[in-house]
Amino acid sequence: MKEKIDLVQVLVELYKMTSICLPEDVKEKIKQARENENSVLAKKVMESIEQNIEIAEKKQLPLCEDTGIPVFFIEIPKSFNHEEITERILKATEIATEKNYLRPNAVDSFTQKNSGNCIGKGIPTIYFEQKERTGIKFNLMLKGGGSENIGKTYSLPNTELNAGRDLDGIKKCVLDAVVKAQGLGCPPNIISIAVGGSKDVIAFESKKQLMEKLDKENENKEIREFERDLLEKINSLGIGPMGLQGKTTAFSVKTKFLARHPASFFVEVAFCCWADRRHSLEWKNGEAKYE
Amino acid sequence: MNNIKLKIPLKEEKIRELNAGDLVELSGTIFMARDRVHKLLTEKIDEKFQQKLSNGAIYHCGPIAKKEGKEWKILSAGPTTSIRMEAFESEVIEKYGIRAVIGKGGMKEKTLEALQKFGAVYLLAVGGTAALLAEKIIKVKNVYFLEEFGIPEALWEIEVKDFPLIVSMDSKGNSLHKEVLENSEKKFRELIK
Repeated sequence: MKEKIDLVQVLVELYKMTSICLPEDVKEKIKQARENENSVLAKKVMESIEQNIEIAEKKQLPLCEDTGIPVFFIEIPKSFNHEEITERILKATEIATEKNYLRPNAVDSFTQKNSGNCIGKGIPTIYFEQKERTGIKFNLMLKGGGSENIGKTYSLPNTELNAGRDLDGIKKCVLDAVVKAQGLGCPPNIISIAVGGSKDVIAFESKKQLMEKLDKENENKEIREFERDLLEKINSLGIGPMGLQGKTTAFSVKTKFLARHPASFFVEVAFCCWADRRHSLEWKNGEAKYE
Repeated sequence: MNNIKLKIPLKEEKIRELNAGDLVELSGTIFMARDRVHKLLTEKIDEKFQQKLSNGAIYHCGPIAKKEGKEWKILSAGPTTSIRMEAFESEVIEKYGIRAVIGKGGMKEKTLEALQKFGAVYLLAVGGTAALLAEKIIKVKNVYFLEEFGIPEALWEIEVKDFPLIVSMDSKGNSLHKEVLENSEKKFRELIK
């Protein structure tokens, strides 16, 4: 019989894995970019990134010192208690910080005091979604501050960009955000767009969408075409790895179209850095399965 | 291309020879400082740090650090986004005699002017390569303002060996960041026409 392990321990392990090791699909994109770039500096940047991934795995150290804000998207069966789960996540966060898998990243915005354990109001961020399922699924993302800072919300129409309320207008917003971002948010980036009528919903949906695998295609053919064209345009800007010029400014573009109020047309552009740290944990009957 | 070796204390003459695009390796004692230390250093000029920082380098970084007995060890230490320090950096360069500013994302006109005027460079460390860069930090010599600012925002005095960097803004007025921005803005205007 397998020894039953505690959920806290399992969550610490999820933190460790997410902080140290990138998902395979991200590593593959990094490799492709390194092969594809031909300028000295862009190649150098991509080579350093690949070396860093190896060193972090070998020495079991956080691959980026900014372990970001931990964001959990949890799929939970109806019978489970949210508060109990939250308590265990907080305990795991404290332990993961002690073990240096996380940097203490929670600063009180009124007193400016760092809590020292990566816990504060809103940190870690935890979203629950009740589902018809038996085990709990924890989807964790460590979202760095650099890429969070360059995200933008647009309201259409936008006269400055000559952007109207259509697909072309949305593209102009995204390109504007990418040009303004330059190398600040550690490109190559993953760009997640949500279009809709309320700011809280598009902010949430654009972030949640970043949990998806990079090659997961949109089911709608026209949206796929929209994303493909936008990715091509973004990469034609030539900003490149770390903003030092090159062919790969973004690995992937993902878009979610939501309903909007007739008066409102918001476009949310969220960025993730190349260090796209996300992993999942399926927790069922005291057993853990990581992905 | 051979990497140019740089050693602390940095000589103005040698710094002025560097060109945007050069690959360098830096060795010696440098200081990790970011948002709040920059504010502090410019609010009141500190003579102790003037001596320590003169002809030295500031690294925009908030590390992951571990205390082993009395010694600190840096586990992970990549650059943070430098642009947030733009309001302070020219004054830090002038008043503290900094010859190299290390970070990611580049900086703007005010800093570029200070680099030219006082003989300094901006060196880019590859963002996110924190495990690789931490390997080049061989010793933590001191940490200041730890209690007030916490680990990520304290002032760390460290010794580095062959720290790998790219000159992205030189002291001749060249900035790769400015170039890439201008080119991408031009392309952007074509695309949204």
